[in-house]
Amino acid sequence: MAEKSYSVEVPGGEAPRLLQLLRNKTSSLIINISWQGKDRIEFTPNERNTSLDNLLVKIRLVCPSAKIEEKDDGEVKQVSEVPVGMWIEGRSISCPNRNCVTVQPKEPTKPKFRLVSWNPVTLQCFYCGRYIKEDVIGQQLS
Amino acid sequence: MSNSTFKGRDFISILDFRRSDLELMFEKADEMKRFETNGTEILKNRILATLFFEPSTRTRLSFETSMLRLGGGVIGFSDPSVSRMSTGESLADTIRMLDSYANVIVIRHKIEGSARLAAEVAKAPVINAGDGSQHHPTQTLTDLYTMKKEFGGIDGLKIAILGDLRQTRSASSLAYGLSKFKNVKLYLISPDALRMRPEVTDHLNDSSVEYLESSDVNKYLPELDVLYVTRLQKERFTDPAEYEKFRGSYMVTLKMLEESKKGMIVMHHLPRIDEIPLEIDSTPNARYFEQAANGLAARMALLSLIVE
Repeated sequence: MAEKSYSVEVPGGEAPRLLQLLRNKTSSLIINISWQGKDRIEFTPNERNTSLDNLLVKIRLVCPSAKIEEKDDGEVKQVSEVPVGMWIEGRSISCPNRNCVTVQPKEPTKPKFRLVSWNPVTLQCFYCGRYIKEDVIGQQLS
Repeated sequence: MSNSTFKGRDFISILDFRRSDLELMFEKADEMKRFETNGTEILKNRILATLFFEPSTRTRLSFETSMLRLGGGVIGFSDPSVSRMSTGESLADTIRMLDSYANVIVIRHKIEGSARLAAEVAKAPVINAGDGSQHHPTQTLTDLYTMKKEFGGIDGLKIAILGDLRQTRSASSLAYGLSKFKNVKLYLISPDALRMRPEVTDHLNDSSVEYLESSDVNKYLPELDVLYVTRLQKERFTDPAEYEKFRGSYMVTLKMLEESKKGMIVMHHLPRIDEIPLEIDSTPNARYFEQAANGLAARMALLSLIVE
């Protein structure tokens, strides 16, 4: 079975921000910096990467204007936009509110965030309700 | 919504309930008024657990009185230092343990999202009695019930919320609650640095609630039906100097009441510090003690509806 691969096109200079996000999550990675004013990254997720959907969402959170294509057995299709209102789960983003129950070390919470807006990128913590702004999300993910 | 659909439900945010649910609770609260003194046996053999990790007078005592008046019993603590959490037990474990003892759990905690976590862990319904600066749904239930009793309805009221809107959970919770009603106009009055948080104003925008933000209450007094005053939340300021900077920013005066619309009422979630002087208590505008008293019927209604 052929592996799926992905092509991510972002504005020139944005690619390095995504590298940290992709580290250890790909079996192949090609970066083409400033190709016709755009950066392009092509990668094949590694077999251990079971949270591919989350990875693609995170790429969009770091670079909201990213154009993502999926290549599957020769067929190329656009990866659809993540709709506002969608919930994003996982510990790769941490609520910056020090008074939130999700950052209390002994409590068994599974952080969950609602996508409030793409422009600017804004998430809302399910537990404490606080907004998490684009700069904080970018710092945490890249 | 029928009474049966309330059974076993958590009450974490006022947004958890629809307008029709709230109206049913108001009706139920009216019914409960007759049991406030002599009680009933509706919840005989049911146990309420109260976990107050933050100070409380009205909320805790009115919950406990409500359960006793409904014929049930009460366990719990108001001083977390006497619980095992003082030795490092997690909130989740504490809730799991209490879940096996109680039919309903009421929790207040300074950590935001604590009540939501408790609701995930417990099988018994969980009622949020205040979490940090976020939600205080039973205060809002009391506030809305008081407005409904005073004016016959909430639609179309012009309501100012005054004070520390950034950190006062009663203020954000009330704004959420009022968004359930039609043609309400909100006047969010605060110093610039203590404005309502953006997640609250975004909700007002999404709900098409008409509102304005200002630091001057005086010019709106002739329009207002309700002046809802809040306390500066001293315990939530990380910098005492910042608290001192805002202390005394707003104080209700007799002159303000003279300039207000006839019939305007003054509400406060209490305790007050210096924002409402004693001389206001005897004016026909003061409603904060009636408001606090209404908390009993409102909480009796809630308990009677959600406890199995």
